[in-house]
Amino acid sequence: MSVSQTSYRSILVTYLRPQWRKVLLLTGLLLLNIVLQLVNPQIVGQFIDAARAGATSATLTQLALVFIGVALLGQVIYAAVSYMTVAVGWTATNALREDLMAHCLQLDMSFHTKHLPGEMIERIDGDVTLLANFFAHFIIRLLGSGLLLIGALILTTRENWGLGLLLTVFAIITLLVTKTLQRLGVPYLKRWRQTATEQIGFWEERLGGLEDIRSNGAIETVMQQHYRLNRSALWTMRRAFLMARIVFHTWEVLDATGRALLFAVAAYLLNQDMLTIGSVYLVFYYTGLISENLGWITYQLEDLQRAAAGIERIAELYHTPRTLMDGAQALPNSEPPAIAFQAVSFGYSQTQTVLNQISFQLAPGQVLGLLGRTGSGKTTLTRLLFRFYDPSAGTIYLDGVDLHLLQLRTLRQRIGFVTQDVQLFHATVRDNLTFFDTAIQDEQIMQAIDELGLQTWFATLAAGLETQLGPGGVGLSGGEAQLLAMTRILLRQPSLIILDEASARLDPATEHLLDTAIARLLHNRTAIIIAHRLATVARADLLLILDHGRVVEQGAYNQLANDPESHFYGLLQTGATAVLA
Amino acid sequence: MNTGRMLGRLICFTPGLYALTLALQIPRFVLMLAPGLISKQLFDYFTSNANHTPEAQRWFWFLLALIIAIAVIRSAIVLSSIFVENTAALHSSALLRKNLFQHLLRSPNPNPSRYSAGDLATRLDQDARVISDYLRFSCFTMGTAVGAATAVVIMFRIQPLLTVILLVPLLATGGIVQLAGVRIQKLSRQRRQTDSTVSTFLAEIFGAVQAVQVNDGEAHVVEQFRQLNRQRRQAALSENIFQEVVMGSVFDHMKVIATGIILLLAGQAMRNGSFSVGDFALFIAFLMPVTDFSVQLGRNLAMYQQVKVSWERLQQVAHPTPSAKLVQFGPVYLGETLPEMPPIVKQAGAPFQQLKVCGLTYHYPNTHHGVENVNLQLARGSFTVITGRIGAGKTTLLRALLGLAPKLGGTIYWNGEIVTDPATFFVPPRSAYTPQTPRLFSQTLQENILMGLPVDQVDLPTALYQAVLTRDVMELEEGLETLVGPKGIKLSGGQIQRTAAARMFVREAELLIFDDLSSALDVETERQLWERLAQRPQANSSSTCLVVSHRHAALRQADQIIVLKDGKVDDVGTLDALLGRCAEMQRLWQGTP
Repeated sequence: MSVSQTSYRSILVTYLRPQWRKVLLLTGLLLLNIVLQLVNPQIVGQFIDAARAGATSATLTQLALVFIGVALLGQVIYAAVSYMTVAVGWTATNALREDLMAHCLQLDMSFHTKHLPGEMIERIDGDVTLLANFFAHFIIRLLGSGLLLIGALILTTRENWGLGLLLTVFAIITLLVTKTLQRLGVPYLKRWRQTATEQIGFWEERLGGLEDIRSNGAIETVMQQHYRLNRSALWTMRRAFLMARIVFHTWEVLDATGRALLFAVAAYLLNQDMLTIGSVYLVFYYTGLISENLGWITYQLEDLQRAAAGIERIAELYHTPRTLMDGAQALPNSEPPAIAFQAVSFGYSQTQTVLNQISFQLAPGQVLGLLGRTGSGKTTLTRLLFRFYDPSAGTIYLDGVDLHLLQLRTLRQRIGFVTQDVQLFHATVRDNLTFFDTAIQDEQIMQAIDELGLQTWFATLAAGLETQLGPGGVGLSGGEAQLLAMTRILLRQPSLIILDEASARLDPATEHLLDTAIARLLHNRTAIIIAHRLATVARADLLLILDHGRVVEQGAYNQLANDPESHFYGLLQTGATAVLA
Repeated sequence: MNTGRMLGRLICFTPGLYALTLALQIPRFVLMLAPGLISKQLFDYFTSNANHTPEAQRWFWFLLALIIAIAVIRSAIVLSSIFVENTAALHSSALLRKNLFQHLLRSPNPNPSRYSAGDLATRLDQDARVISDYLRFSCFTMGTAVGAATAVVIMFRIQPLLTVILLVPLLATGGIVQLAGVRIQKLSRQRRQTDSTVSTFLAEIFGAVQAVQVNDGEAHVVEQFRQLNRQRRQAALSENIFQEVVMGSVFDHMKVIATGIILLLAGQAMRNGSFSVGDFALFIAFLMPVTDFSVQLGRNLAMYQQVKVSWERLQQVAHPTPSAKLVQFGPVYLGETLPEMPPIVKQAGAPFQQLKVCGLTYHYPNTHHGVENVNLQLARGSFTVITGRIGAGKTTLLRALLGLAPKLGGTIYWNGEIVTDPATFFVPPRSAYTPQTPRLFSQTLQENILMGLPVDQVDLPTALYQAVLTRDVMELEEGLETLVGPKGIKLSGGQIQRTAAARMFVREAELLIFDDLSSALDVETERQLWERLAQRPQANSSSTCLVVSHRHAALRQADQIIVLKDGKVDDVGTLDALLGRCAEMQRLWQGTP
């Protein structure tokens, strides 16, 4: 619990500080509301004593009207407090959502391969929404109730110190007991949230792969998985709700015991003429108030428990470290860099080797052609250069500087990477190209499109740059997606280009159109190309043929092409227009 | 189906559970009146002159014990009702979720571009929950109604006039709430829309997180997220003003006004002793359950508006299927054993002889993209390649044929008989399909290939061999047990595609359909794949292939090639014939523009 208590506090402080004026005003109004709530029973107490003492109707009416006036004022203030709390809560939690998103976008692929987008919805939005309820209710209910409770205890003590003491002890015991029980509930609630998250992730993933499921006749299997998840959701939810309820009802039984005790003591005090019946009613009223607020507090602890589970998960996400350490050195200039790999080895896990002792050097402005069978490690090699992962042994140098020492951001800014699988999202073509960067002018985009020779294709888009792409880029063919990816790269003017099977999805006719554009893209830039066609390979200054993560052949294009002993020579002789490696 | 009938159907699905829930709510709320009644007795005891008699003393201690006993009994009742009501509500949401999810999986008219998977998942989760929570909450409201009615009867017997006057503001509350309902519905819909936008955005961005990182788009993406958040905050605040501040205060006002009325009217009666301090305590104590009822009723009505919104949202994604299907009764398997998997059928009807497609037409909504009046014919054992340049409609043709996109025109004949519902017809054992960008799920490699087929009834090694995946599996640390991660991200693009191919081969379908394997396979691997397909053992040699490709290896192997251009068939024939006469084919073969 201590961990999450620090979490509450640090999250409260971090996200409420920017709104301190509003929070201050809110606190003021809340205090005023509490004072009014405490004053009102005093009026009722006076009313009863006055009525029993036979006061005039005028006096009684006057007291009743004062009561109504005070109560109505309290209502208005309460409404203001409620509105402001929600406003403050949303501002704070939105900031938290944004920070979480920014943090998660920084995390490397080893994190994202483990977490479904559906799960990310639940963790960035779902958990934070629980926290938003916590913000809203915590301030009004928990803080307000707490202060009201203390006020009521003080005023009861004023009537009779013995009763005040009794109520205080009772309140403390109740809080301690419920707090202990509350701790028992958290793991159950956490498990419930976990199954809920799993379920959403499952739906999101399956609904995204509808065609695969349907065309393979796997509907029944998927339904069975759905049933299984639903069932575990039933069990975990029911258990979590029951555990949370037990806290509340422990309070109810404690409350009844407290009231019984109070009546016993009050009976004695009345008997001794140490209290008036009006005071007994006043104490009774305050007991109700205290009890109601203790009830609110324990009830809100339910919410708090849920928020606690949420906060624990938020904190966990927030503190998920990047496995890659950032360097401090900025790249000196924007000239095309030189690249060197020195005995680089890598595996996605300890026991598996994807790359084995890779060494090569690429001069500034040169193009490296990377050849090899699927799974030979080509893609992995480029991922290391982009620092999606770090080598398990060996060093990569950019302009002679160890990659580790470079600032990740400046490194990645300089690299243009067309990945194997182009990722698009549900937004306009413009947003898919600029990633919502409003500083990029339409003219710049059009210029890039022209440069790639895509004008004709672009003209077929229904609404130009405003054309909406469906979820996951539905509405574009695989080839068209590749074209968009090329345009993305052009917009950023990087000094190093990585093309990972960039031309693989294009039909030969369209690919030909791109050839000139690729040539322009590569002009005065260092590049690594994973290619399958001779036309693309012919552009390379240096060739590297990989097999099972090892370099089986490397050398200058011309040298290998003219060496009858080389593997590459053999490939050329087979006469295929495509490279068989 | 309107919202009321839908709720009725859900209750009828588990009538026993809802009856029990309701039955438990009554003592739950009636017992809540006990402390007020006991307080009255205690105050009457305090103010009575005869409180020193042994009987009075015994009565006093009995009352104190009763306070505690009732709290214990009530707690036991509430805990059981929590158990029962959650079980009931979960059955209701399970039924809605099962029917909708099943519908989405089976729907002959998939509309993937209108609703993202994230949005659909949100609807399955939240909207189903709103509806089932409402049912539970309604039982709760009915419990408070019984509690309130009991309280009113008791109050009436003490002071009829005062009770009747007090009821006026309480009844007015219901009317005010009704009037506000329309506005709440609208605000609530707006807010839920912004919720959806936020989740969709999150799902899309985290689905494309690598692209964001690669293109240095993090800062702008967060900025965009901030915009969406701001809109959502605004919507939430508008909803809150109405629902919490305006409505919430209405209820609290009522309570204050009621207390004021008691004070104004009871002063005289208290002075002359006809209204005791105990009665006063009881009236004040009973205001709580009575106003509680009107608060619950108001919330209930407001929630009903939300239920309408949620039901609308569920119907929207099920459209045009009649909404009665969403509440169709059927097992939800919350307690009972899971359904038996249907046995594998190796042969559906007569062996495949011929597939004929006449005039197939499909356009993407609001675009000219699509295919127009396509005819084609496949004979048993043949190898047909569809080729064409980018955007020519190759994938669309396959999707329209398979019923994955609803064809707008044309007829499909299988062995000469018309196929009425391609989506349910073109499944194993008749056909199997590998999409251009196959989706794998975050399970093991083997689970992704089998997708529910029992491993002992299929030939997995052969499927792996034919998909050229055997070596990859051996090299994976945990082999077939490797968890592939979301969308198979732990595998390379080629491995994902070959896993999908293995998934298809293991089903031993008669018609195999591949969409552009070259998108992630190198030439050599693809060539091996075609070679192994041609060398399939005799028993399977009957299989027929329909392939989208522009690779020479595939084109060379083709019995017939269909050249598509701008969504229409440009020419059909063998490679040699087409190279002789078809300009488009020549361009595609040589790779010139």
